[in-house]
Amino acid sequence: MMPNASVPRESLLDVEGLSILIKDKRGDVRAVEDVSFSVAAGETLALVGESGAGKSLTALALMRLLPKTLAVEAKRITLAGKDLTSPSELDIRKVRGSIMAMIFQDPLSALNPVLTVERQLVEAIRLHETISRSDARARALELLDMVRIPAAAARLGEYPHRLSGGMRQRVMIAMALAGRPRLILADEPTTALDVTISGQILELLKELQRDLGLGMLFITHDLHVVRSVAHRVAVMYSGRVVESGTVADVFERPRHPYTEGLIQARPHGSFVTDGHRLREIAGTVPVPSARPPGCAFEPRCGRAEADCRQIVPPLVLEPGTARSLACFHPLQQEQYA
Amino acid sequence: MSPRLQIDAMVVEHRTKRGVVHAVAGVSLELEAGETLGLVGESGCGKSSLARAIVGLNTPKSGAIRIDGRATDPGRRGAQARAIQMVFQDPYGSLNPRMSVRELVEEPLSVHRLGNRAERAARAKALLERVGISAAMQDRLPHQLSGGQRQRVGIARAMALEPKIVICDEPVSALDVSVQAQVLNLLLDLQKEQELTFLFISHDLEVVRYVSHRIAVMYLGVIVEIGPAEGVWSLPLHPYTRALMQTAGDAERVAATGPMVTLASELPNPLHPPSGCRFRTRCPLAIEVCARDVPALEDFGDGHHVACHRAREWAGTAMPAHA
Repeated sequence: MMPNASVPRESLLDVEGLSILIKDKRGDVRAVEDVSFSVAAGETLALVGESGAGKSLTALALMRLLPKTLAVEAKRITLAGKDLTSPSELDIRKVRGSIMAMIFQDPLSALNPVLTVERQLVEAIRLHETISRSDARARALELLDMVRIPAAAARLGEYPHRLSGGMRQRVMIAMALAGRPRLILADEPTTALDVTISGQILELLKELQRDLGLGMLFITHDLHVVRSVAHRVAVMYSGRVVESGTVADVFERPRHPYTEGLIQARPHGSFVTDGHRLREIAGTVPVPSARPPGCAFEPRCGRAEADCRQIVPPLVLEPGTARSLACFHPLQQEQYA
Repeated sequence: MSPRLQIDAMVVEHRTKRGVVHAVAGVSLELEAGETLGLVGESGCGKSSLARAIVGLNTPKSGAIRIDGRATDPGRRGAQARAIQMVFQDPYGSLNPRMSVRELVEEPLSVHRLGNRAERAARAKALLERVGISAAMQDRLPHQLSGGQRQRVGIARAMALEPKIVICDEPVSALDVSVQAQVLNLLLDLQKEQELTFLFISHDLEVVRYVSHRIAVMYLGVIVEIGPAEGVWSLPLHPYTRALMQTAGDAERVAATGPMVTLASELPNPLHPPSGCRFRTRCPLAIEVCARDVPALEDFGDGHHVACHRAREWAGTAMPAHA
């Protein structure tokens, strides 16, 4: 299913020119720089990249959950028609949980350890709706059923530590759904789980998204997970989006050398029987305070030339496609075999 | 000739307040010199308990460990202790934060009283250079290194005593994808140079397939399937292996070789493992006999062994994906 580039999608979230500054006496450092993307209703956009790319910061910035030492700058942020470019605390409270909600990687630290599942769910529900306690309890049961927790009524009285990792993540998804949001920000929701459980949670998220028509911003470092859940993908490197497009397009025909490098660095067969060596990306991701002046990937890039060392390549929409690219010397379509 | 490493009927138990956990419930393995055995399974399956028992960090309740045919004891000293080393998942947690990189690599040499001070320093320098830590970085502390560099130091430490066998416990799981490739290539190069035997533990099936000659699948303390890597990969026979492969993003390939296995529930309480086949409570294919009899590891040819009462039903009919 390839979204058609010429048909305007009904955009749920629009982010334009988002930067996140780390305040420092010696000068501010940009952890995230000039990031733009959009998410439509019923669509999943994956933000993929390695640690330090700025994926989680981006999601936390949208929720305005960043610590005071970090400042958010943006040209424009709109969510469901509301302007959230520089929202007041009241503005953000009105949308947080009810229009957009977040699912975190580690449910044990995101859930309150001394409150039962019921207390936490009821609290979340009554924050967004004026309903009686008994109605809220009924709604809590309904939510647990939605996330397919077996014997939901018996689970209401449990404390988070009594639940398995998979069950905890289901409870957190139920809490995120409590305010009937239209956009879910999911930050590595399956990374801490075992493969068989992670598969169950991904299936659940896909079903919920389809049934409720949710938009989803899905943050992950795992290319498999991107393939399994996302319609579109934005690849981040050192605080910037370097390539974005439909998942099929970007993964089958990567054009940014970093995207290609990430895909090639994963094993695709057996060293023992066919002896192929993994392709390495030499070096490491630069820290935000020591980025090179030009393209941040330039020191690790085999295609870099003089211009890459001087100018940061802007993210540009490729004419006639749904792909955006920030590279002066990208791979040509036919170069990728 | 005896195998390089032989594990015989290993049992590891952990005493907890609520009872005894049978973390490893009778595992036997043989590894040849230069061979990599990949070990996969979910958390709680006992793979780390097994690894720690092999390297001497856990005392097994029963069972034998033989290196080149010679029995070892858990309190092993000298050459036997040097023969098996371990590379840990989290090099940050396994490196003393107050010691420089050079001191960290010299430490195992001085513990084993190998060489004089100058010889140890020279050896540490050479080892670090071999794993890609330049002389300029050797005076740094662990926190001044990136994750990949720390793992290189962990590898240099493990190699310092010239082991025959290296237990790699999730050695690349904490690293970024681009750095994983560097570390995997390094481990494979070292293996080739020194004919190392690897027990390679990982939850990442593609990584395991890439590095392993053989793959063993562990569930609740027992091996449920073991065989040549490409055999297990292309024709997984145990329902649990099939479920793992399916979730690795390869559902179509698995579907072509037998029943699909979707796991609904989670790992049962290891304090009270199910009777008969330990996997039966999560197995959609379980029948009466599975609750009654413990399935033995049966030979399906070419060294491919599976412990499942029903595997024969699809083993013969399934078409290997490569055919």
